[in-house]
Formats: sequence, C-alpha cells, structure tokens
Amino acid sequence: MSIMKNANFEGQEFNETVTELKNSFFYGSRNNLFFKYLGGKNISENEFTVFLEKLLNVIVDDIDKDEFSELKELIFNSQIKGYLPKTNNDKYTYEDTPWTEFGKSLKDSKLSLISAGGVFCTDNDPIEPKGMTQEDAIKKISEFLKSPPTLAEIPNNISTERLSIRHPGYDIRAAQQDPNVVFPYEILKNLHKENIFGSYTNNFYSFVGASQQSAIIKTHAPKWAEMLKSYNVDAVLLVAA
Amino acid sequence: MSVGHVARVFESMGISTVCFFVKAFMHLIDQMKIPRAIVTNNFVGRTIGKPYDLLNQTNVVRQGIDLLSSGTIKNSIKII
Repeated sequence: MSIMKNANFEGQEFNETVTELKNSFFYGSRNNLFFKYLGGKNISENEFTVFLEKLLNVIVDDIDKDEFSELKELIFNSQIKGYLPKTNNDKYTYEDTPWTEFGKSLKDSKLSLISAGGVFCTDNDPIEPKGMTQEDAIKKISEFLKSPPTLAEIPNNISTERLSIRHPGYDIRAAQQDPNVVFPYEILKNLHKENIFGSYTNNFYSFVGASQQSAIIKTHAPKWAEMLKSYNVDAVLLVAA
Repeated sequence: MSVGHVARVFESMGISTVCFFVKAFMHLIDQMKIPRAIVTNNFVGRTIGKPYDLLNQTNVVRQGIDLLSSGTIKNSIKII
C-alpha cells in the first residue's frame, strides 16, 4: 500500500502505510472505540480506504442537506460489517439452546437486570486498583480479557450522578451521558410503575463483558444464577454493550 | 458474547432470560443459540437507544419484557 507522509510530531517527518493507519484505530496510536472495527481483521485495507472515501463524500452531501441520516446509515452498515467475523468462531458455536419456560404471568414475576456495560457505583468500585480510569482500562484490555468478571451490585434506587462507566471494549460516551443506554434501570422501574410486571430485585448488576469467557461459563454465571434464585428471581434482562 | 454465555447458564439453571443486542452482534444470536433476544438498530455501546431517548428506550425494554411471555419457543428473536 502507498506511503503517507506525516509531519505532526515536532516537525519530524515519518512514513505511515495505509495498513499502519488502519491498525492505529484498533487499540493503537489513534485508538477509537467507536470506530475500532475499522482497524480490525474483518475490514480489509481496500474496504477501509473505500469507507474513508465514501465517508468524506457523504459528509459533504449531508452538510448540504443539513441532515445526517445518510452518514449514520453509512457508519451503521460499516459497523455491522466490521463486527461480522469472516470465519465462524467454532469455540463458542453451540447446537443446543438451554431453555427455561417463562411459566408465570408477568404481573406475578420478579425481574432483575444485568448489563455487560461496565457500570458501577462511583463510591463502590468493584475492580482493583481503585480509581482505574477508562484510559487505564483501555491500556489493560488484554488483562481484562484474561481475567474473570467482577459483578458490580447497584442499588435499584441509585441516582444517575452516582453511577460510573468503565469498559475497555466500547465507546462509553453515550453511557456516560445516560447509563440507561446500556443499563436501563430507570426504564425498568418506570415499566414496573405501569404494572407491566410484579417486582424487581433490590440490586441491579453489571460487569465488564470483555472478560475471560471460560470463567463466566464455568464459575461466575452459575454463582450469579444461584444468587438470583435465592432472591426468587423469575427472569433477567441481559444487556450486551 | 459474555451476555450470551450468561443467558445460556441462567436458562440451564432455571432462570428465564431475554438478551438485548445491537444489530452488529446479531450473528452471535444464531452462533450461540440465544434463547430469547431483542435486536435493536442502534450503534454499539447504545444498545437500548440514544441518550435520553426515553420513548424509544422504553419501547425496547417493554418489548423485551413482552418477549418473556410471548416467546414460547427456543430462539425467539425480535428485531426492532
């Protein structure tokens, strides 16, 4: 691929290939968790450059229309392509579907909520070292992926101001504004007020989805299930982030 | 993927689940044979909707709760 010249670093000129530019968006020098898929292996160099070219053209079109639906559609579709594996991940491909029939009426049912979005109470950070920032977490993405998940307990009456979000795998800006985008605790409580379902747990829960999957399967999810069963929970809303 | 694993374990231990995914992760639903799922047309990291979009967020969660009782067969998936 062609070489680009860049002179941004204190006047020092260096060469950068398209491959290096592309890769820099995936936990590299230009890390961008919203667009990290562009630097991933599911997007080829050619697809990357075609996307950039289309992006610039669509921006101009949408500026002229003063309306950005075409831009959003372009990015949305590129995100779907960017997350779609080119080969199947056999390790976690299953043939069977575990199933518990939801036998009760909703009005008699107790629900809970678990988000994989890395939400926690600001004054009760479940992950060591305390005070880890989002930037710190991003640098430790490999450690997160090798570590078991930690479940944060979040009282159901907590205020938004007392919630924090930290997750090395996705762009948390929307969740920082409104945690309900990945942790719809206020929405769930509003629906309870409408008598859609019977009750909900004293705590809701969250963990960082970018954790060791085998630990989730073998150890942690079974413990969480036992805990929720002890609270007589009938069903759980599980939100991916 | 983690949410899919939690759902599979919970269902095998007697707790019903409904998962919420964005369309970019839709391939996981078939791969992992997710029991019940709502798929939203939102960007990654905005699974339930845009910030402060109470109307659409409520619609997503409401449909998820509805799916618990209406999704009577395995792999009940609703795209909204």
